[in-house]
Amino acid sequence: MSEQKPPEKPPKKEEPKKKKKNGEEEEEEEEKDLEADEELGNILKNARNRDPQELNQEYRQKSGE
Amino acid sequence: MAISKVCGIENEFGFSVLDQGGNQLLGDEYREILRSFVKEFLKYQKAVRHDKSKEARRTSVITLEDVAGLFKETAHDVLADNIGPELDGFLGNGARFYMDVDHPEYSTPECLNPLDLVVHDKASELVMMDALRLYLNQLASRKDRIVLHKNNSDGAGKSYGSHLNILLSRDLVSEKDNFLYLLQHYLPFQISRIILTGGGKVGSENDRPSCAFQLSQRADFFERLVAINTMESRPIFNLRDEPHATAKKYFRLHDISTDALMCEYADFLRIALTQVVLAMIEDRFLEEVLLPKKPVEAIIKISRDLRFKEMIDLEGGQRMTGLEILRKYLLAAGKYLNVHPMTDQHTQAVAKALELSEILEKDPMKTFGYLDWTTTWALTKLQPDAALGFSKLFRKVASDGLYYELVKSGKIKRLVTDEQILAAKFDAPANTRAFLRSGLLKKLGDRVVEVDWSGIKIRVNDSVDISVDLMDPVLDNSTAVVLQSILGL
Repeated sequence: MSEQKPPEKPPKKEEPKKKKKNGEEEEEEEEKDLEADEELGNILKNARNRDPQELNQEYRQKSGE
Repeated sequence: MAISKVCGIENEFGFSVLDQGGNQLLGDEYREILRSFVKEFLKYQKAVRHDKSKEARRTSVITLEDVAGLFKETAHDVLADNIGPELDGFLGNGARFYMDVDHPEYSTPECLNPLDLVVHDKASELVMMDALRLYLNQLASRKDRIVLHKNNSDGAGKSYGSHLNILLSRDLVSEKDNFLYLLQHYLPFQISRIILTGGGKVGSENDRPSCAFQLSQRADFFERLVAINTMESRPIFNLRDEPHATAKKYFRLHDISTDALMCEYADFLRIALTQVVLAMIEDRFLEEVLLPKKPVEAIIKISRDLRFKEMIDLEGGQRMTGLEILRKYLLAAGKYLNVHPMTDQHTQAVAKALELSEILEKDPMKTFGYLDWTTTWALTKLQPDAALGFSKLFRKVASDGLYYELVKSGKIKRLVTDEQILAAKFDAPANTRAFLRSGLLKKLGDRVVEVDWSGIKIRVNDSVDISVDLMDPVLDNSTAVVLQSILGL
């Protein structure tokens, strides 16, 4: 059994706000289509389950030197 | 008149070894596993060994020092990075597979058409997967886990390259004036090209200004404008000139400023746009100089400019964004192709680049699946608690790597087919000398006593060897047809 801690669930996101000139809100608007893409959501969810070590923030790939 | 642009890509792959406890192996232990990984794959493939020291003696290596007279650089010692023939060989498809310092490296066979090179670049991923499978099935004595990434940075301050090599006319560097023209017009393109061809990276490195995400994997590692070295104090424009071809005719541009790419469209644009811009330079088509006052600062700034709003000060006193600089090149490229047609692929690349540059300005997420950096950025925004991990997983070279999962579900825009990529594991393009190298290696591999980019020596009998000259990188159609009938290819 893996000793790796399961990745924490992503924090709940607020409902996307209406598009304004504020940069962050523009970004939320842009992500809407991708967030609504169920198939993409499932691929990312499966990736989390399959490769927890890769997704561990503590693990930093280092080169051999 | 611009010459045909023979191109190849060298990718150093990220190579990590983890023990059973998930700890990374470093130093000698790491290097020993890497050596076995490369050596055993070459043996299994019956690859013909490549002795770089012999090639260096046979082909003249010209440095640009004398030509340019501008840079106090020492001649590059081509023997310095010779890692020994047991870790360096040519495969049946004409590509070179070897160990380079601390990475497995793959150099594609020479290609003329952008899509051929995309196919061969993607095939390099399959070859790496094959090598990993072989290692794990036959050689792993312990339960070590090896992870391969097609990336350019280990996230811990070390970078490795994805070099785009293009053979250009020697005239471009034969006089100081020509060389300065090349620099003036190629550097701004290199710096702004990352808007379409950046790999995307979480965070910053090399003591550069911090950021959450940036366009390029490599930008943080450039420290100089022009130099001959590639591993320290990296230049944007590299002076290494090893044409591996008739040196009087060809100059090899060794562009170390590009990122390793997963998306076919981004790769296609990297290759095709670079070929067109270099053709424009060879034909002295470009007039407006768009060189930033501080090019190193400019590439770092553009890499962080996810909204294309940062102004760059140019030598001529103008100020414009990186995207505006790039668009100037794309518009000039459109005009150039109207009067100097190249191929349909080049025309399509320029049109697509213009289209994507407009979409990027309005909504970068709409280029998901086309460009590496926007695709990676989207993934990290969708999974903010594991942004770094998802950015790495996208570049993981394994059947369960995230890029390949996205391909399977149709989320990545395609330009070539899986069948073409698979075929490129075995075959070289038919219009370059790689076709002859590949054919001879496949048919007469056990008799090939020496092989390098520019020649092959074949043993006829105990006392006779014949040398096949490959100093001309382009193969004309009639030669290809004759070779096909002789070699039965």
